[in-house]
This record gives sequence, structure tokens and C-alpha cells, in this order.
Amino acid sequence: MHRFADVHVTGAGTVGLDPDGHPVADDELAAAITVRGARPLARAARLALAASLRALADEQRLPDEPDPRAAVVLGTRGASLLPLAEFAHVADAQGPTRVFPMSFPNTVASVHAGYLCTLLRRSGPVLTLCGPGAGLEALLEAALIVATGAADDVLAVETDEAVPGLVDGVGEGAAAVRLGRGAGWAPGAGGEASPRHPPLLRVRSIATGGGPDELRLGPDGPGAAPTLQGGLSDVARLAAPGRLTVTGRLGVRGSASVLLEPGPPGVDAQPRRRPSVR
Amino acid sequence: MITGLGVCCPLGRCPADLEAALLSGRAGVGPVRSFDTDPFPTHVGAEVPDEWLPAARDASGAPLRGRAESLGVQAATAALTHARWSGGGALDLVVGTTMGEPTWVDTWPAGRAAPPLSDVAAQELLLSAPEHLADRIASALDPVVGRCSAAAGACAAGNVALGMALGRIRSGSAQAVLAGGVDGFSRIAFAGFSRLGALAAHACRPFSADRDGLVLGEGAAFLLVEEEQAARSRGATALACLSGSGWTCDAYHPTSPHPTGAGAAAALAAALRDAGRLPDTVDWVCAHGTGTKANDSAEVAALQAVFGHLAAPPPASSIKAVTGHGLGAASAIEAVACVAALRSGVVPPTWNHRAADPACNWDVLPNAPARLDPQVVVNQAYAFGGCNAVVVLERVQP
Repeated sequence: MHRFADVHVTGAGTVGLDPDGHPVADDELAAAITVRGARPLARAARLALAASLRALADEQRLPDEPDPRAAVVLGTRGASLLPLAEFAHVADAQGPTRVFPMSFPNTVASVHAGYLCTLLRRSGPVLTLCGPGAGLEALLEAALIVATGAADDVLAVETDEAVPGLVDGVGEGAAAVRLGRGAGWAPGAGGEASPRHPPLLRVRSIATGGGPDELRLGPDGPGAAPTLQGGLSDVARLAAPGRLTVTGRLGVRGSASVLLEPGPPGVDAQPRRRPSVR
Repeated sequence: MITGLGVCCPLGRCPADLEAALLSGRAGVGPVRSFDTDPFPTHVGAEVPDEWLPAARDASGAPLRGRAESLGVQAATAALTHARWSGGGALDLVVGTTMGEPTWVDTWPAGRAAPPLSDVAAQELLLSAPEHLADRIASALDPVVGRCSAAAGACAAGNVALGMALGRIRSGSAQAVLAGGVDGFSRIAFAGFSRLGALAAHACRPFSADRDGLVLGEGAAFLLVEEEQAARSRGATALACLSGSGWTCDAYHPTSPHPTGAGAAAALAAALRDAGRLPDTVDWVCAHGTGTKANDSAEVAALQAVFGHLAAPPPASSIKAVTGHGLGAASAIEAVACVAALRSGVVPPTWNHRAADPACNWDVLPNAPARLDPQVVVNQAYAFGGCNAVVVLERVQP
């Protein structure tokens, strides 16, 4: 059994998620994307990129070479659906041999995660999950990647654009949570706080179940109602100053409860720069 | 350990049929039957015969159910039957896929895709999502499935699913995970790969100097991965050991592999590290080997980076010349082939190989099976987005 106690939240960011269901304004999205090369990205990937950049706001600059110890886990329901419809429309209207070749990759969900890795210079593990609980599942898988030592720095990202019938009653948006190893923070393990990735929260426990009845809730009970389907945005919003338990659906079927608490004693658990929350 | 195998692909509906075809060179490639290929420059594919699928279409040819769903249910059910899974314990399901369930969008009548999407089109679009495919397969296996995940790992999805299964077993969050990959033959995918210039004119010839692309295929394969003690306590037969998994991203290009194979080499090294194996312990590499110029040369570069220093590096062969490229199913089908090779001692060759390519300077076992008696094999998969996933499988010691 892996221990998650060494896994910390070191950054978070959101974009959109308007409770009234309004889409993200194009100028807001453009302003949030501060790296070059985002033009080929589907809208859901652009939302994910914007949230990720906010989660990485403490970085002075992205590395020149891709970092093999940095990873991305993307959760989404419909990131590829509208690109798929667009591809089908052009093939129908103009003929299948007239479709722009590079529009095809965006019909495949893993490509969005690949774009994030490319633009954010991350060449460690990459994973794309789909489903109504894909966001929370992304957080869990990201924590597992850190706990097993497969990477030191993992972005768990949840994203969805407004697809008719997909995200009922919730505005489009994305949430990104950055997870890192906490060994450098543990008493007796070097002690000095890493200047690069200060922890905001510590992952205390993760409970999973095959369905709601099997779920063992954390001691604080369910957290705030998830605004996006998977609940990752709850973590990204850092809504609770103390403990935070995020409970929700996991992947396609299943459920999870993630208990987060402030970072180790003696370390300022507050973010140096409050992630932008709309 | 792996205790059950299920497969449905152009070469057969059980592991024995698949293995026999791989060793004899019987190909599942032929003229595309699912749709009219006149608009395209290429006309070959690797399709599962319709008669193998349960009433996939009505008399008019309209789909009754998703093709990917039909393939996936058949393979998943077969794997549980093969493992003599009684349903007595909790079972997770991880479904890897590239396209999800494209049947509905593939068969849209003219004009249905025009924006704004109608309610009917939006509903059918939602049915295309990977999560829907995973849920449909889970529903067919009810009530045995608890947690279910959809891994959109594109052409590496089968290996991604196996890696997730390994992670869950090791972490203790599951004792049994049915993991694999599924993709149905798709007009959308055919059009997409055609426009990318990735489809072979007539045949897939991995690593051959005259290779000109992949042959699009389809299929499904699932493997039951169980925690060792739990499997033994229920009397399951250990078919092979899933000992390591490595994932990386090229961080380079959405469709093209990094030409140096750096990301692929890193995934291979990570998988070996995860398995606790050194490169010199690997006996055979089941290659991704799509038959495209870019993939095969990058893959060989990755092999050279990891194994090139060895006096006797392991041979690598690709089975895609005869299976076609099953996209999300491909590496799961290849994992079944790996288990078969570990058990029989004979590894399948690279069929259709005609001429050595200096850019693919590696022993690719051209056109004849080899008795290698492998103890440790590596299954490689690379995907759109630069996503690489490699698993290590080992012979179970008696």
C-alpha cells in the first residue's frame, strides 16, 4: 500500500467554472495563455493550458528542455467531442480528402495532454482519463505517480468546454492542481523548505470505492459540492483554509474521497501567490 | 500476475487463433468492407468479420450497437471466462481506447454534423466518448465490475491500461483488474490517418526499407491482472507476470515521434527500472512497428539507446503486418501475443519484410518465427500526443 503522506499540493489554478454557466471570454483565455504555440489546441486544451499556467505561476520560467521528472495527468469528459464533430462536418461538407490533416489529432483525447506536455516542457509520465469523475481520478493517479516516485512534479488537470448536453448547469472551465514530493519538507529529512515548490496542502489520505456505498468518507465529511463534474476544481480553488475533503465520482464508475490538510508544521501553508480564481 | 486473456481481432477470437496466425503469417488484411473507400487513395484495412460480432447492423446496414462495444464486450467476457473468474471478488475495469465509439458519428447522414448540432447529433456525439464505451463494456459485465476507468491513451492505450492495473494492484486499491484496449474500424480514423499520409498503399511492412505506412485495423483485447496471493487463493492459473510499466511523453509533436526516439527510450528504460530488470535480461521486444517511416526509425533509435551497448541485444519484431494497427487495441493484442510467446517459447516474426533499411538497423526477425524461449519480454507502444507506454512481461516460474 502506497502512502500518500509524502504527496503535497504545490500549486493550483482555475479558469472559467462560472456558476451561472457562462463561457470563458476569449480575451480572458488569451490573456491567461502566456506561452507560444497554443494555436493548434482545441478549446478544452486551451482551457487546460490556462489553468495549468496559473498552477505554475510560481515558476520564473519554463525549462528549456523537457523535464523527465515532470508529468501531466488530464481528466476530461468531452475534450475531443467538438473537434470530432468539426472533423465530421468538414469531411461531410467538403469531402474526406479535404479535411485539414492536423485537425484529426484533436479528435483524440490524449493529444490534449501531449500538447500540455509539449508547451509546459514536461516529458515524464502522461495519462489521459475520461469520464464524469475524470478530474478526481486524475488527482488520484497524479498522487500515485508522485507516491511511487515515477515523477516529482505532476499536474493533475481537468478540463471541459461547453458541449451541449455534457456539462449541464456548469460553465466550461478547467482546474489544475500541481502535486509534488514532500520529502524535502519532512522533519529530519533535510528540513529546508524548497524555494521552488512550497506546499499548500498535504494529501493525508485517499479512499476509493466501486460505488457510492463503498466510499469511506474522510473525517471531515464531504467537501464543497464539486463545481466541475470530477471535483478537482474544489482542490484547485483551495476553498478551505484548513482541512479539505473532496468527495466525488471517480472515472467512469466509482467514487473517491481525498483528504487534504495544511502542509507540515513550521512551514507557511499559504500560497505565496494566490491562484487566480474567477 | 496475468490469469486470463481475451481477444477479438482480425486474426481470431481467441488467443490460440491469434498465435497460430502470427506464427503462420496469415494476415487479416484485405479490401475495406465497412465503408466505401473510393474517396481515399488507399483501400485496404484489417477488419473483424461482421459475422463474429453480435448483430452489429440491421438489415439496412444501420448500426444496432457500437462496433467498439461489440468487440470490447466479446474480448472482456472471454478474458473472464478464460480466467475462470467467478465474480466472487471485486473487479476493476480499465478500458483503453483511441477513438472511443465512433460508430454513431461514422454513420451520420449528410448534414447532421453541421453546426449548431441538433439534439440528436449532440446525443450521438456523447455516445462517442471513451467513457461511454467503457461504461457499455462494464454494463455487459455487471455485476462483477466495481470501479471502471476510461484511459484515452490513443495507440498506446492498451499498455496504459495495463500500467494502471499494475499500479492499482501494487497500491492495494484493487486485487483484480480487467485491463485492455478497444477500437472499432472507423471511417473517421481512416480519413484522419489518410490525410496525415500514414496509410500504406497495399501492405504494412514494418522496418522494411520499402515501407510506406500502416494498415488501419481494429479489435479488442483484455487481460485479467490479479494480485498474486489473491489469484493463487482462488486457484487461478498464472499465465505470465506483469512486472513493469513505464510512461513518458515526447513533448515534441502531436503526431510525429521524436526522431531520436528519446521519449520512447525513456519509457522503455522506465519500464525496465519499474520491473527491476536490466536491459541484458530482455529476450524479445514486441515492437510498436507501425510501418511508417518516422515511427520505425525512431523506435529503432530507442532500442539502440537502451540495448545498443549489449553484445547480444534482444531482437524486436512487429506483428502489425498481419494484425493491422488496432489503435487503442493494438498494444493489448500485442500483450496477448507476448503472453503466448512466453508460454510457447516461440516469438512471431516481422512479416512482409522485404529489404533492410539502414535507418532500422536491428534484428527484426524477418518473415520466420524464432524459438527464443523468452523469459522477459517488452511490449512497446507509442501514441498521438507523443505518449509512450511500455510494459514488461515475464514467464511465470513453476
